Amino acid sequence: MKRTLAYITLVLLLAACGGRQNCTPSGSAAPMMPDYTDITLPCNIAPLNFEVEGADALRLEIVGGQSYHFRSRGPQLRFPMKAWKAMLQAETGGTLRLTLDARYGKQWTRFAPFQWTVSPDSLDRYLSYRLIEPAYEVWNVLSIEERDVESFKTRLLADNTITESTCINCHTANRGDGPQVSFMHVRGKKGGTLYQKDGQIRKLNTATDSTAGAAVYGEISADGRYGIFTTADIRPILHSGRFDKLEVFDASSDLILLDFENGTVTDAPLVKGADFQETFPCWSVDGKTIYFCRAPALPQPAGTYDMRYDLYAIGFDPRTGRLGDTLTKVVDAAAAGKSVSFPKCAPDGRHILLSVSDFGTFPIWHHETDLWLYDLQTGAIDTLPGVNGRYADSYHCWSSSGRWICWASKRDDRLYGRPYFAHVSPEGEVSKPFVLPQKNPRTYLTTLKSYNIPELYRTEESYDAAFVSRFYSRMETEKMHYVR
Amino acid sequence: MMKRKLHILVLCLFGLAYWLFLAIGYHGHLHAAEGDSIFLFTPDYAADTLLRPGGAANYLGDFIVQFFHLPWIGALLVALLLTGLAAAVASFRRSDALLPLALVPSLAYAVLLCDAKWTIAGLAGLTAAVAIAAAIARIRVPGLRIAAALMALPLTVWMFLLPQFYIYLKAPAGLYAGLVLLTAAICVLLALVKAPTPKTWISGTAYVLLLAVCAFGISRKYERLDEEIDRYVFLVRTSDWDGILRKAGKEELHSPLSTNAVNLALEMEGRLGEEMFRFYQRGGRSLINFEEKKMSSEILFRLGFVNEATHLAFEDMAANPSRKRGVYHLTRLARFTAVDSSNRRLTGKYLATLDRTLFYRHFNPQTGVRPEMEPPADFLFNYGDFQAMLEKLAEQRPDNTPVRNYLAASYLLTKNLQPFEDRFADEPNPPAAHREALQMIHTLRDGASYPQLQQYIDAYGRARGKESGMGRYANTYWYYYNFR
Repeated sequence: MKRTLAYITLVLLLAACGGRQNCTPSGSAAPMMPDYTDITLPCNIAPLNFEVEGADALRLEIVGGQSYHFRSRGPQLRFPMKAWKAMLQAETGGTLRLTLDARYGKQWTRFAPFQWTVSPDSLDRYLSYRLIEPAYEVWNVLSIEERDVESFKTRLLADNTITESTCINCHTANRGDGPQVSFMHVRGKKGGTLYQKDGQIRKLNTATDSTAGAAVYGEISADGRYGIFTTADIRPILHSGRFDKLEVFDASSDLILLDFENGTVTDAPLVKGADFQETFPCWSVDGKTIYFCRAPALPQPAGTYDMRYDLYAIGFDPRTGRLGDTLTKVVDAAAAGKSVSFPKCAPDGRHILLSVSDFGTFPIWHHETDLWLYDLQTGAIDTLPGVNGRYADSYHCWSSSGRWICWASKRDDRLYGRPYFAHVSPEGEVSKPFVLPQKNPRTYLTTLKSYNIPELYRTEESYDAAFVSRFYSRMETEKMHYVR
Repeated sequence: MMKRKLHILVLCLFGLAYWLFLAIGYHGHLHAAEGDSIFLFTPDYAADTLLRPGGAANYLGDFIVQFFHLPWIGALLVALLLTGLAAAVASFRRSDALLPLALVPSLAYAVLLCDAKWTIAGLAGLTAAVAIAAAIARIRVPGLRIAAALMALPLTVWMFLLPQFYIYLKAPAGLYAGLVLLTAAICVLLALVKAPTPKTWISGTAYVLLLAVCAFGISRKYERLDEEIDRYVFLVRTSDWDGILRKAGKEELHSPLSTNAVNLALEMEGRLGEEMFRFYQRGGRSLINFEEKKMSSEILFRLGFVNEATHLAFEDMAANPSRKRGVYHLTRLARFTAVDSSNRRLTGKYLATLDRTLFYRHFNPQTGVRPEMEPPADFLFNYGDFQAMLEKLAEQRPDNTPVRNYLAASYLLTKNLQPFEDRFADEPNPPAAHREALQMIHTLRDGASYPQLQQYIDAYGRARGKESGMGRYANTYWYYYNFR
């Protein structure tokens, strides 16, 4: 029986070669770099250029509603932009069957066919990320780049070589249907938080005498009026083991609420104090709940290995701008020996995507970090085994439609983060991830930069690096004031 | 005609002398510059470099610096550039009267190159700019000459003269601009002045004076201590342990970093405990200095602290003032990451870049460190207490001989004798330093008697505790204990 099956398979593979001369069916998966086999892709993504190492020529047949043929001399296949866009437009909502042949010397090899499902759910057009070398503590060059995901165009939003080498981080957009709002922290002597609302830019000093420091991790409410942030004393320390390079812990951390309209900072007894550490707040879709991570405070760094954060929720009244007076534990991660970070609410209001590590509060340096999907309706947790890679998956975000997630994954080499995407169905099923395509498919192999904090948004950011340089050196800072 | 021959002779003598000076007296500096730099034979690298202000100068500079891998060739290229600059300036002369002045920019740059902040890119850019100007000056048709000059001026400045301002903002940009203007002024002066040719002795005296000023400048700028450290770093990075010990045997150690290299070489040759006190030692810093990251990362690596070594290697790369990711940085990361055979992709990333260089395309990341030397259980690393870190690793890895020997050396150098005795009293064949320390402990505590130690004690008594007169014991631990 086995022999018969093998014979039939061989015959089918030979038949699949379609009469091309010298084509040997290998039966193995296409060794394409990056791996774009059997994925769901958005209908507006840039060409998924790839390379087959060592190949002298490539030919790719794509069969959907129509047939498409692409060829290359050399190991890389770079799709012509026009043909690619036309293909996606024609095949949106369909499934494509791809057959890849590679020539090594004079011999053609055919790999196992694979599929692409072209989702009608488009991706937000713009993606920002921070490019930084994973140099543990020191850096001298970092930038924040904006990528048009429909093409390969990039643009610098910030470049610390023209802002006195200062740290720049956390470019984050709101996901509301109303005004387009974003923020970004520019540190350093002349820095401040860059708050942008419909193209109007303010430079804010969010530190007050009554709070522990400036705003760090956080989100802006959908209407752009409020911001909920961590304020923390963040410190790094080095591991000795092979897997986790660096531990970043909070000597202390609280939450602060910013009212951008009134220029005020406030907090509440339940989200501050020395007994607990609170961090990574995010808004619910209706803006009436704030989710955040909370753990009992332990002496640091001795207690670092025992710090496990649970997911909590606290009410918020957008009319009064006041935080509620009760806390609800949403996910008891510590009971499972885990620690959650970066909760991010899906725009459909049903799910929260979390980073989950064994301990601590800086998941990107924890090799075991995975993404978990928490269902707010059922309380079920999906550990996303088909999505998580070997190494850290963290710094995630949702597209404004809620149908795509993007995150920084170190799955390829444990050290360098790369932006990966996956489709999320209305039922919460998440597809196989794929990496942001690049014009040169070897980019990720040779770049020494890590792609951190990817953030999806719909409209092009209103400023660029030259503006941020002026923002840093010349713009007046607005001092925010603490109110009880 | 005589003056011209004299000029050529002086130029040749200067080039020859500078070549020998660089190749013999400054090759440590050349290796350091090469390690911090990279030149890739790829179109992407060419485009990325050439499209920046001053990019052509940087491209030329990096191309030349890669030959510092072979100091005799690299030094020759620099000497040729300097003589080429002088020849290009001399080509502007209307008469031979002021010919010695043509040497001034080259002599000035020869002095400045002794300072690591001054780059070959700057020299290459200046030489190229003067050569272009000289070529334009030779155009006979005035209209064409003016048109060419108008076109070439902005382009030349953009391509060749901006690197110092753009890339190395911390370098003395004003001084570089001054040198460019001085060169331009000399060219103009040579082109305008038509004076009677002076007598040979006057020209000869002028040349002698200029060369003497240059030699004096070099002697003042020459960084002897940095050169010593650069040479030891190079010998460590190439694992030339024998070379280190030969060098240390010939000349005094002027820096704790040199001692670090010698101690590492002794350990790698299995002679640390036997011979360490043959060389000048002073406290725990004789083993490692974390402020200098090149040497300390190599030492940590060979002790099995691979993560900490990689940490320092990254920090060192990130702190490279040229912002380049040089070949030494990449080869070091390739070696360090290759210890973890389960993550070949990370090593492959560095090798993929090195593969596009001239001298490292077949780089084989031989580590010399076994995974069994690494800590099996994670602990947080404290740079402030290296001895405690050695103790932790020695406890976890009793078979890690380098760590065990470094721990013993650390106890001895810090005169921490109780834990030394606790750990090393039962060694079957203790090396000289250990034996001497144990004898001293037994004598001081138990009144035990050892003939050689007794002789030392008698001599110490005769010298009344003074160092002079104790020279014959200078290689013993007893001497170190009393006098360092």
